[in-house]
Amino acid sequence: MRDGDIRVKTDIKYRALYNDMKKERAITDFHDLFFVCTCIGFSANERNCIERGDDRFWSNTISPTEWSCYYAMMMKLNDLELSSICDDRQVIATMQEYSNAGIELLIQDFLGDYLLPGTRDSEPQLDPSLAETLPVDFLYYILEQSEANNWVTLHGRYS
Amino acid sequence: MIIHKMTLNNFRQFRGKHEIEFVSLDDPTKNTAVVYGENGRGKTGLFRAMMFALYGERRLSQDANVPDNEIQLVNTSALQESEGKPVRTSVEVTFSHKGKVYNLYRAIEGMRHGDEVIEEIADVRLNITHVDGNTEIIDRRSIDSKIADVLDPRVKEYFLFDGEKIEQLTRAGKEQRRAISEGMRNLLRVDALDVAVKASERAAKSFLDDLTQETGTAGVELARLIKSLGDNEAESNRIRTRLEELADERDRAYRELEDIDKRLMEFKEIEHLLSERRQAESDVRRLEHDADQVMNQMQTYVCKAAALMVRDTVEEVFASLDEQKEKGEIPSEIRRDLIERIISEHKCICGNEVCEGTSEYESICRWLEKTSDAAREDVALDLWRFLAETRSHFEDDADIIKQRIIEHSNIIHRIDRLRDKVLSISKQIGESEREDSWKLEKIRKKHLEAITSIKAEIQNLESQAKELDSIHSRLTQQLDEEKRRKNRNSVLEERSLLAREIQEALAEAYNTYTSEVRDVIGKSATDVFGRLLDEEGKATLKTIVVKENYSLEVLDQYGQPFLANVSAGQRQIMSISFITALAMAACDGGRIEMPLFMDSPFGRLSGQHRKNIIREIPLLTSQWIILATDTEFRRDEAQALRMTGHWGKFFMLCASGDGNTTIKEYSVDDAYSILPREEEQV
Repeated sequence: MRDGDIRVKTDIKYRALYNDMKKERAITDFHDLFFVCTCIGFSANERNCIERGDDRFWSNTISPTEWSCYYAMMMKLNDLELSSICDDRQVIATMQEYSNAGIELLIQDFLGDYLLPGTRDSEPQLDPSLAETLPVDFLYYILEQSEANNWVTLHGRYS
Repeated sequence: MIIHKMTLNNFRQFRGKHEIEFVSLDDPTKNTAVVYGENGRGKTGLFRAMMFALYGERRLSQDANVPDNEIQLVNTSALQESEGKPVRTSVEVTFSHKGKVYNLYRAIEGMRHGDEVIEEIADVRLNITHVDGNTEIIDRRSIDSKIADVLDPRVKEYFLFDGEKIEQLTRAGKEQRRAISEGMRNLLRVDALDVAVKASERAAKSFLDDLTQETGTAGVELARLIKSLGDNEAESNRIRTRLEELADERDRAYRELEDIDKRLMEFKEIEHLLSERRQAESDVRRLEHDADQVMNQMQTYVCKAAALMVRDTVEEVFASLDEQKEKGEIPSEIRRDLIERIISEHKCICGNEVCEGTSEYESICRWLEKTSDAAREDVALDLWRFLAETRSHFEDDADIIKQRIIEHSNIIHRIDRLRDKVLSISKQIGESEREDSWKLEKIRKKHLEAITSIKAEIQNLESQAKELDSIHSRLTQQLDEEKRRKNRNSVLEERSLLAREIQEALAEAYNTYTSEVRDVIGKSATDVFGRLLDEEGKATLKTIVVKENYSLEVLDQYGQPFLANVSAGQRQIMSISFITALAMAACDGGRIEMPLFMDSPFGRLSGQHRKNIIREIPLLTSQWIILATDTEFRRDEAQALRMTGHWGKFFMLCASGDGNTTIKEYSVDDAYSILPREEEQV
């Protein structure tokens, strides 16, 4: 039985960005963005402690697929040791660090072009006038990160 | 209310004195009267006379664009003969209501002054004869309120209406929505609740001001939360109002666009271009909708795409667990707790003793090392199952996501191509040699720009409204926590909270009530609609809905909005159904105790619709007065009305040769022979 009572945190400076991503229809809810950032951070093998933690969402909103991936990442970090996934709070605490590094990479590689000028280093915020195609661009970016073979280059729009 | 008699004197076309007795004295069940006349004979004059007598109004809703000095009530022939002296014009109406008989007299005096006619109210009198036979003369200053008690002027147009105009109720403009909303509020007497809601808002604000000013740090958080909630609600209301205004502006711009297109279609040389452009624009709108749908789906694939980033890790962990499962390590062949018990009790399940140091004991200890505890095994098995499930979708997910991205990209390409096409056609139309054509084209372009900017503002406001809603729920949660945390020791805090709760409760009661009323009226209107529609209409149009913003909608057999596709006649039927439902609700769902005074109700209706209305309306209302033209009331309609058994009176408006009209009464039987047959009109 997974622990649904954990307040999952992100750094407070990403509060607006989480809200904006949801408002601009890039994600259905906050746990989506947290998961994406965790996967980015984990794939890049980068993790950062959160400086100023801010409650972002409850762990009961995390889907079974996301939990499975969090457990898999946790076991991979601990030489496939099953005992590493027995404490959900510990799992989430570790994922928070990957997510914190992942969101920085996301801004650096992708979201930077969609931000309001001057917000990047303080509290990043999306520029609504640039966000019209964000949902599809975001999905494309994630897919690109996950695939070595750049299949979409065949297609006009993304060539 | 039953209108018995109306007496006109020098009113509009009616030179001298004319009387119309609407009620059949020998048979009160015959509640329907028909006033028949060709166009220009004075039917609307009679309608105007009724409005003038009851409310002193010189203008009808259809006079919106007519200047005041062009509306003349005094008979023109009488004015000409008066040689500069004033002419008195009057209307006298006798009606009964709740056992009392009202006699209302209103007069104006008109005088020609050069080319202009000056009219002034000259007299108004009201006598009420009570059930006991005593007659009360009403003070002039109280007359309007006495009449308003019988039929509130704010809802008069629901009972006394122009059939040609009534279908406008179904146009979802701001004015129509306001008319419907006010009509519902007034007829159903929810004004008091409305006043209470507003008073509670004022009280809550006043207590909050006191709390903010007088408390120290103790009540500051509470005051802040209540104020933030109030500000949030005010801002939400402002946004909602603005959104309604924008929706109206957008609809108006679309209508104007349609009008321009219709006018442009008159230029034959560019007809083919217009038709091509209309098709391309319609395709763009459809594709934009499709693109938006696909865009909305994108967010549901985000997690699936992200999971692909850690695919290798998932595969590796799954392989490890699967291997352990294959080896029988999870679940282990023998449970760890069982082995531990054997070792601690030194006794096997077969009953034999297991002593330390023996080979059996050593074997059992080796088993113990291979097993895990039960909880850990459960976790491992769960994870094995979930990872198996997750990895089984990897290939499909990747394919589906790629397809969606390509699909979206294709749609965008097609939209771009179509937009280029529209631009090129518009350029050709704009370059047309006809000056009026390119002027219209310029106006059209402005409307299109306005629509784009309105759409952008709507989108922006909608997202602001969504954000405000989420802030509202967070603030409400915080306020609840604050309430629980503190023992209220300040009277001001208590009052402030109480006022807020009353405000919320009243607002909820108001919303619940109006929502239920909308529902009831919608159902009742649907019922009447079903009785009035012809067979073809019945097959498609199923339900009338009064929407949250008080606009009317009709749903088809699949429950989909269909209003945009209904004909003018069906809109008229829909409006009559809604008005009838509204009036029935005001009369507690029973028969309408008010006259329905309809000017030209059949103009846009098909034969079957006319017959249905004729059959049903006399059953729904206490009195029905029809002002009909020769083209809308013929032998067919007369026959249908006679069959109801409710037709009591027939009047004909006849030309008297000098531009005036006389009123002649005929028996219902005679009327039938006077009326034209359908083929005679053709």
